[in-house]
Amino acid sequence: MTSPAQASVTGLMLPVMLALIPAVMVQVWLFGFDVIVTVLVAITSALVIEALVLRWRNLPVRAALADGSAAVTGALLGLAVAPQLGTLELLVGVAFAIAVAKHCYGGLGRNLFNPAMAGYALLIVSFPAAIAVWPVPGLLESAVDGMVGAAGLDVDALSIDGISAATPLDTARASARGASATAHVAHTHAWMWVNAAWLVGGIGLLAHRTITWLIPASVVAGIVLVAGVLWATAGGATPWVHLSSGASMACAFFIATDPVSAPRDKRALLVYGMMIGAITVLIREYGAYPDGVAFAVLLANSCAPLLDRATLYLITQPVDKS
Amino acid sequence: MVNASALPQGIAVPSVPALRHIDKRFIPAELWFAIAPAERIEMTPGQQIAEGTRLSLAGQPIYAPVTAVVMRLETDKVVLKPLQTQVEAPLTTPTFAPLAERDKDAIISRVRAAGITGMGGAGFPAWRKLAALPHGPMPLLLINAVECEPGCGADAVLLEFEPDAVAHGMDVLADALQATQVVLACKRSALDAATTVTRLSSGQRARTVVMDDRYPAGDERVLCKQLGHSLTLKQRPVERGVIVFNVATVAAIGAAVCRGMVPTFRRITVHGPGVATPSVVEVMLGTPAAEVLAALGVSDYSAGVAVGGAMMSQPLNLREAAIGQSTTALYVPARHAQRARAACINCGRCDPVCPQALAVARLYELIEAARPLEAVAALDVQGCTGCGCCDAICPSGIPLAATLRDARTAVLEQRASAVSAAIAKARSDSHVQRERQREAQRVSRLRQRGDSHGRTKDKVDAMLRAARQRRNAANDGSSHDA
Repeated sequence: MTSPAQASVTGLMLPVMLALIPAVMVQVWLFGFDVIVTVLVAITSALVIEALVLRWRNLPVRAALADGSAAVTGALLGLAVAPQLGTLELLVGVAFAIAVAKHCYGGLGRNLFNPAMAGYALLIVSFPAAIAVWPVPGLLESAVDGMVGAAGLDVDALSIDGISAATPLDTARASARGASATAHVAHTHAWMWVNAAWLVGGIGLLAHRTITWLIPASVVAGIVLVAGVLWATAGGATPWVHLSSGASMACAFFIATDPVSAPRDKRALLVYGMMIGAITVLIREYGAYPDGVAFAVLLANSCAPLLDRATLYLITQPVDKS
Repeated sequence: MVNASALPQGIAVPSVPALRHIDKRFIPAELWFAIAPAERIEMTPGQQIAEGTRLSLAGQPIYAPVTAVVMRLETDKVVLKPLQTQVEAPLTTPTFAPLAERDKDAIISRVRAAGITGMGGAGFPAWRKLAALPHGPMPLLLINAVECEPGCGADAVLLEFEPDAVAHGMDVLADALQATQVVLACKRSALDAATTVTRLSSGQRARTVVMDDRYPAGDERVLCKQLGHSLTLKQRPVERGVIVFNVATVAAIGAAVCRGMVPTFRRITVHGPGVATPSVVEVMLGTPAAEVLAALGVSDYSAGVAVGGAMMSQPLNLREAAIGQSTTALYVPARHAQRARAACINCGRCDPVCPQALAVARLYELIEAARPLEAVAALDVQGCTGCGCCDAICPSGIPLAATLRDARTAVLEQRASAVSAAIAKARSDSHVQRERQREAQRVSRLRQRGDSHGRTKDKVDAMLRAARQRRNAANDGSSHDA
């Protein structure tokens, strides 16, 4: 972190884009080339919308696009949504993320909420059915040529129609739906690979010193703690299941680490990360949504200024009366 | 030899190509000395000035480094032309006799007479630093040869080519200050030369400490901390028993005391993207900066020239800038050195790199939001040394060092004006109080004396009372008044 060589916003965003590659590859392997199309559409539309908004705001377009933050937002959103999501819905999400969540709050450096998560939250509440449905992940044997789909799986083993299925989190929540054990295992396995890929990318970011270990560790700690308590007392899923499903690793390394929407002080970051982990698990276990990452992040974002103020100014300095 | 541990703060220094060392001393066509007309000695154009002649009347002593002819007397400077015959053999005649008694007071007056100021960049008069020391032995004499500004190497060349001068200076100071410890701090690449110096110094009491190639390892506060004498933001090194001198200053002090020489030359580094072959060259004091640059083949300085380096620099006005005792290096930046500036993204990298552990990000927030200076001062912005580590690390290209430096100046100015305002107020308050006292005394005097008829207040009251009683008595007799 102390190398001036990274001293540009592009220098921070480029490693993030590269660290996404393992996740992209795994998601392509599991869910098909639609993933790449979705991600590219998301990135391109993010850049276009950013350019339009910057022009409207009379700000220099070239420099702002070059810093890569819009591209990263688009990429994260593209990877977060199911690849079968319609283009229109995707564009709505990207437009909200860039134009509203980022620029209405002032642009780069001034946004209160994580733009990608704000966009995803909009999609969850606006298109709840489309969002929750992912393709059935292709198993290893049938994915030699990268093609996945119902053809690769024994359809009879599934009790769900069609080529799309719920995620393991959905299944864990509504085990009364009666998904077969095989499918459940396959899904969990698949999502474990996804999380592993995000983890690999995250470790790469740590090694490159683009992010520090504090936020990922806090998020993981939050997840493990609350999941552990719920598992021991209320029969929730094990901490391992929580860590290896949904967007846990993506959140810990790529989403929670967005510097603008996170607090600055180390103690505040610890609380922030644990809050995200804890609320994610709570929403997963008790909330109405399959994955709580987006809302957990947004809730923690809204607490970030207060956390900064509390830790920076009450503990170390007299309260700034301004 | 002690190896200092790695600096947690600061930034890693990018490796720079080796410097070319120019052996031959540079003697210019003109010498410029910025002396105000009222402070100059009597001189007329065409007059020949002998080497070693003092040019300034009062204040900072400035000496002619070589026999020269007065060319022009301008409003802000004196221009001399070194005589051709003297060009090859500059000042060898000492101005003073070698000092016999080398106690602290004698050293201080010799250093003052020779006009030695700090040669590490700040230019603080050396005699003042010595005179401000408390009595008794000094725990640590620290000689700073680190020169951590990336790309600079003049101090390393001094160590290598004039070890005896440095050793003499070390001995003089160590004896005069009765230093318990003597430490010579240097970079790893200058270790051999530094070891030679410590071996040459008498008494075997000096040791070398190697500092990592991190910036700002040569900052005196960082050095003190690495050697175990941490300073709070408001403390000076002398308050912790440490006196720090730049190695070139030490050599100059040694020459002044042992041989009676005044400073005439100094080594500078000429470097930067605009310099084809960065070099270390020994130039005569008073050389116009433009001449040095021209002699080294630097032709394009459209982006300006600065004293210092990429991290810390002061811009120069080439029309009037001359090499002085505090000119450590000339830096020629690249043409388009301006970085694109974006908004602060709250990454928080500026806080851990600050060698003074300031809350840089918060300070920037407060200053940008134009908060009152008290809030800024409460976060100790006065501790900012302007090292520029925060500038280098900021991904958004925000000029943090300049912002903090301006805030620091504003806070110090406000404090200074608050002090003078308080003094003025105290004076005015006591004046008002004196006036009031005088008035009260006058009134009481009048009361006691009475007016021109001798009637004091008490007497008048008594008369009025008597008159009232008489009236009442008279009224009682006739009709009753309410």
